[in-house]
Amino acid sequence: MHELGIAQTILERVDAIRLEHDVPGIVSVQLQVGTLSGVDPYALELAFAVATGDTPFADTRWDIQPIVASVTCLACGATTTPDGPFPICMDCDSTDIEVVAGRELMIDTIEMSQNEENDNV
Amino acid sequence: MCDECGCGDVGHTHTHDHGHGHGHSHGHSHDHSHDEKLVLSVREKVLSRNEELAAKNRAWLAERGVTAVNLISAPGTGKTYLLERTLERLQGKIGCAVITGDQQTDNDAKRLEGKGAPVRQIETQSACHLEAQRVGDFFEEVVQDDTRLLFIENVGNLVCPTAFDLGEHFKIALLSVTEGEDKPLKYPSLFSLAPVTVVTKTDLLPHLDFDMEACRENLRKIHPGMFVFELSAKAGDGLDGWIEYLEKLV
Repeated sequence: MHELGIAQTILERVDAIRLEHDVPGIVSVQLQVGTLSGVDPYALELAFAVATGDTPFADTRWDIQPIVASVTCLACGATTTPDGPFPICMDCDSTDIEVVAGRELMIDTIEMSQNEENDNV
Repeated sequence: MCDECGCGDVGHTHTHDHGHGHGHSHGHSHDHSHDEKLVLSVREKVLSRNEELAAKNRAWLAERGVTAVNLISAPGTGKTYLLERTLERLQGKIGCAVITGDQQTDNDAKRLEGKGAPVRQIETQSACHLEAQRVGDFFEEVVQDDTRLLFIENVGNLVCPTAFDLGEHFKIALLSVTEGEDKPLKYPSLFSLAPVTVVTKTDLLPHLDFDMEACRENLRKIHPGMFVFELSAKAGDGLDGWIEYLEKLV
C-alpha cells in the first residue's frame, strides 16, 4: 500500500537529478528492490503507472531488479534464503539472524535522454 | 556499434590472446539517430532522505531529553484509548506530548485533548503511514520545556509504518485480543522491529478463544526477548505495570 508513496519519493528524486543534469527526459530508471524491503515490485509498478500519468515521466521505463534475500543465522551459522518477506533462518527457524542482502530499496542507474525530440520524453 | 570495442565500424577483426583472429559482422544495419543517452550511476537509497530527517529528529529529541515512542497497530486495536488513559495517569507526573496520524479527521486529537499534554493531529490524506518530515515539522509545536515523553500514534496499519523511521527511540506494537494470537506470525515485520508489544482489550478474553500463552510464544518466535504487556485500558487491568514502565523510560 505504501508503494505509491515510495514511487512518489523516487519520482521527486529522479526529477531533481534530471534538473541537476539539465536533461529534457529520462528514458529509464533501474531500481533494486530486495525481497525483505517491504516493497512489492508489482505494487510498485502499478504505483508508477498511476503516479506518472500527467508528468514528464509518462513514458519512462521503470526496471525493477529484485534482490534475493540472504541471511546468516547467529544461532546455527547457516546462510540461507528466506522463502518469504521475513528474515528467518531456513535451517533452524531462528530469527536471531543478520541480513546479508535483501533489504535494498535503491535507485541504481538512470538513463537520461539528451535529445529534446526524443519520443521517450 | 561493435559490442567488443564500442567503435562504429562493424566489419573489423578483433584478435585475442590465444592467437587467432576472427571477423564478425552484424546481420542488421544500425540506425544512427541523434539520441544521445547518458547512463548515470546513482546507487542511492530511496528512503535515504527520510532516514536523514529521522536522524535529525532523533538528535533534536535527544538534545531536549525527550523519549519518543512510535505506536503502531492495526486500526481499532485501541491505541487512542490506551493513550487517553495513559495521559490521565501521567498528568502532573511526566510531561507528555502527542502527535497522532490518521488519513482524515481530527477525532483522535479531540479525544486526547484536555489531559495535560499538547496534541497535534496529522491528516495524512492518501498516505498510509507517517514520515519523518511530517512528524518533525510539529516537534516545536508540541514539545515544551518540561516534555519528557512524546507519543507518536501512527496511522492504523500493520505494514507500511514499519518502513519509515520517524526518529523515535523505539517502536511499540499493539495487538488486541480480538485480532487473534497468530497476528505476530502473519505480520512479522512490525513485531520483529518493535521490542515491546502491548496486548490490549484483555477484558474481552472471557468471550474469546484467544490463547495468551500461544500469543506470547508467537511474539517471542518473531522477536526473542520481546517485552509484553497484557492490559485492558477500559477495565484498568494491567495498566499499572504499563504506567510504571513509561515512568522508568524518562
